[in-house]
Amino acid sequence: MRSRALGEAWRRGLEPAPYLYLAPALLFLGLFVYWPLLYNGWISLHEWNLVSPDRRFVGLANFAALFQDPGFHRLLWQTLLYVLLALVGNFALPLLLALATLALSPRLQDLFQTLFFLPTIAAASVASLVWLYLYLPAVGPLAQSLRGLGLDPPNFLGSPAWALPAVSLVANWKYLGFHYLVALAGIKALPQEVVEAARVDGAEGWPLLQRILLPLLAPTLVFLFLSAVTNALDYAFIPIDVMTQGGPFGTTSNLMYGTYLEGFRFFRAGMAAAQAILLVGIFAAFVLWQYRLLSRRDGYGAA
Amino acid sequence: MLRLLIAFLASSTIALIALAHIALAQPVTIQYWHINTEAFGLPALRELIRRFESQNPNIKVEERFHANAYTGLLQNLQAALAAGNPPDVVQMGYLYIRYAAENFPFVSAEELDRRYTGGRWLKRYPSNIQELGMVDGRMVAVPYSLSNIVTYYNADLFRQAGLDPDRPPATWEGWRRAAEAIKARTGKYGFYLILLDDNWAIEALIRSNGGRLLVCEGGYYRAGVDSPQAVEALAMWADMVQRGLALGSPLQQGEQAFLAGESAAFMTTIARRAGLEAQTKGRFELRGARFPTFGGKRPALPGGGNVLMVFSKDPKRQEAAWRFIQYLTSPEGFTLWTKGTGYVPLLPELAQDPRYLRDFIQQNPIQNVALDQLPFTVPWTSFPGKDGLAASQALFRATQKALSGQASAEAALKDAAQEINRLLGGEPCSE
Amino acid sequence: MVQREAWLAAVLGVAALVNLIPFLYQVGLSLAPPERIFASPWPFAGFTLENYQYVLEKLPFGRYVWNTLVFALGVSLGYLLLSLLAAYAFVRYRFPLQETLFALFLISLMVPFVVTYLPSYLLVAQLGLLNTFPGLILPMLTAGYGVFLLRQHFRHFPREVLEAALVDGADGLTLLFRVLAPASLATLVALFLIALIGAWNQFVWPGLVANRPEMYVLTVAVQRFAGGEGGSAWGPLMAASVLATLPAFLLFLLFRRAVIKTFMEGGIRG
Repeated sequence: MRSRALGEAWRRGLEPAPYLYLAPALLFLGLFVYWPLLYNGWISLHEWNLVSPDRRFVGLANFAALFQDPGFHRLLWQTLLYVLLALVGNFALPLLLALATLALSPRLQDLFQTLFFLPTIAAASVASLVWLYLYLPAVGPLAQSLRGLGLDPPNFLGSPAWALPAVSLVANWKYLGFHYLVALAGIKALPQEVVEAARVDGAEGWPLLQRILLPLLAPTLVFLFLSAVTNALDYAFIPIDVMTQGGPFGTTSNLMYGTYLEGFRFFRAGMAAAQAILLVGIFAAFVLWQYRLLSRRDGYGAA
Repeated sequence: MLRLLIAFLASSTIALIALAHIALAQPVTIQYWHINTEAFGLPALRELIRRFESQNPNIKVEERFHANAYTGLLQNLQAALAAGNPPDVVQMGYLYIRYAAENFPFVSAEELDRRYTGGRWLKRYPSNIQELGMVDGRMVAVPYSLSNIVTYYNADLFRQAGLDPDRPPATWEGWRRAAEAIKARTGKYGFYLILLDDNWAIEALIRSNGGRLLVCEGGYYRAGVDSPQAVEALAMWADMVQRGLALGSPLQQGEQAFLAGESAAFMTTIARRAGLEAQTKGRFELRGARFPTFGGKRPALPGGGNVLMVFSKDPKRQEAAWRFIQYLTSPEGFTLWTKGTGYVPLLPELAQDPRYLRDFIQQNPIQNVALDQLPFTVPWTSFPGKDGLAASQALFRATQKALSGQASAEAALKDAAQEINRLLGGEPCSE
Repeated sequence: MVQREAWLAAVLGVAALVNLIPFLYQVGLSLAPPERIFASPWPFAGFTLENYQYVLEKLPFGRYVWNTLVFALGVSLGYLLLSLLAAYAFVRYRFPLQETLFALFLISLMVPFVVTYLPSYLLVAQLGLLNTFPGLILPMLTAGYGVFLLRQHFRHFPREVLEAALVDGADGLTLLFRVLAPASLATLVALFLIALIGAWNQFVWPGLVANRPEMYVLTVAVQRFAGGEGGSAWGPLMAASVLATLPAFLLFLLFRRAVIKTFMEGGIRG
């Protein structure tokens, strides 16, 4: 906001106000995000289990080991898969469903909101156990329905080809409703006057969507996109832990779960920390890049 | 002046003695970390605590549950130790004792026994049981809960397949034939052998076939998983899974399949006895049999369950912890524990004693199976060193690869052995 | 038009049903007596309330609901407040380092719990806040999303309104709480819901910090029926988790009405 009044206030000199307002949030960020990150960075240069007095400095050896490990490359690839699948389930699908919902009467809209949202508030660990049953080979409901359709169902969680999509499905399913609500709210909040005005002017269909709706919808789209990407691994964590523990032989693991295994199952904190640093590095770079791109497109320009 | 001084000294001494008395009379509170849930042992645990506290008024026991079994408990233990906040008595899964003993600060059982019970307490156990709590010849923890792997089976399904439920197969060859019959006549799986990343089942297979997970050669540990006996064992299991005779799925799914009547047998821990009995009541007839053997070879079954390990730093709490452990491992304690869980009592004489477990065992044929197998108990192997836990993952992956047909048992185990040897990195052994 | 609406409703209906199937199974299994669990491929294979009775008997559910509520509300309110203040700072003022500071918030989104959870625990333990509400709540107040979302939202706020308010002498906190916040109610409520759901679903963190039985939150309490060496008690487990979902569901119903109402009042009030 750059009006003259504000500009004058600024020119009067450095105000303490913004820093004061930022201070509490930054304090928490510092204590509970950045301090752990720095600590983690320090641990990544050691070989340690966080408890024993035996702690060896190994420099970048952990990172070197990771880069040379073909298992790690597979982990990176699988991480990408999780993100892509999340974009389908937590970005594209919610938007489509939201658009469809808005064409209905308010009563129905109400109903669908509630229905879609339910999985998000149910306990993830228990939901994953239910999915285990659904995925059960031969006797499981999914297998039986597929057989009824004449298909030959695989052992979803036991097959290296199917396991990752199967687990990813559970993660996306759980938060579909939440993203659907966000999409719904975003579309509903569009200033109707602008849309109406454009319609009156004769704009319709695809051009309407592109020139008017999408730019107006940009903040919601950005939020949904970033949410889907940044949460993809987090949402998948509990399903992986309950259903496959990263298996079969590592094919459902990803950077985050792999870090968890290294740190909290094998107690190789140094290795885990190195993986975590890489994870943060990759995603942070991506998020910053996306944000730059998107805020340039944003009609109001960069701050 | 002197009189004043004497008066002062006298009164402070009296005051100090009084304070000491009060301090000693303060109840000591100890934390007992466990993994017992409502359906598995928690009521028994609470009862044990209640009785102990009533017999020991100045010790209070706070029980703390940890989700995700021994793995979850170990994670929280690590955090607590890192924070300088150790619990007192902890149920440590057998798989993890070596890791804990080598990497975490603790007080050994033999030390506590020596200090407070003159070294007599631990001698009550038979020697193969004592071994369960030992790492490299040192008794670090007190063996407590012991389970071994048994075969639960669905008698109704057996009958449907034309098999006699009173004579379940005793060998793997027998189970293969039974599974073929079951598959042919009912379309269901013959059995489900528990598949978990702790390698319990694969170790039972390998060791019963005469192989070992770890060998000591020339003063250093080496992986034994690529030996012919190990390969043969895994190949047999993998072959049956590939042919649809056995189910190869994660544990929870396998259990669901058994309950749903989709698998005629479920080979898993005796500790599930009570739970399975409750869940199969009215559904099908549940029976128990021994774990299959390889022909006439003597089986070797890794003991599952936990030991009690002490982590307190304060001597007063260490003593309180030891008293609690004494109660838990007393005949009364074991009796309550076995009845409430399914764990095998570690003092064999209890099974014949009418005051304790004789009647219970007699009414519980499935529990008897586990007791019969007790002499075949061997320690559950844990890989040594700081990468020990990662090494056991290598074995788990090999098992999964073979079961899913991604690799032959031989190739998978060879790779696993290489990985394990790399991770063991020359750990010295002393056999 | 009606035909299109009917068709869309049908498609959505199917989608909703598919979406709900696992939940239906959860409920179905919770109502099944032990001998009917997993007996049939359909979700509803029997009816009994014994699982619920068992759970309610064994666990002080009221206490856990309370714990979870305090935890979740504490987190969402704190989160909201911190995000409001910070987003306001970014939007109302121009100051050195503001892009860098904003980047700090963005990057924090990418730091996974595996990195933060143990050091946060160590800190909380050192402060003596284990098994307390502050210990549970404070480390969760890292307001990355909130700041991002609110800043986006405030930036699109009509300038004229703000300038009018400034001219009227409202500035600082007054401007924030009297003008910006009330007009952004829908977004604030949405953010509140997001934080609430996040806290509600937390399992790993409360399991570590609040593992004294009196301090359990619902997600941790439910685990009392799961796993262990003895296997899961499927019926009670499903029942416990359905019970754990109910309060959140009711809260959701309540708040959702508020959000809808505000939307219907014309989106961004100018």
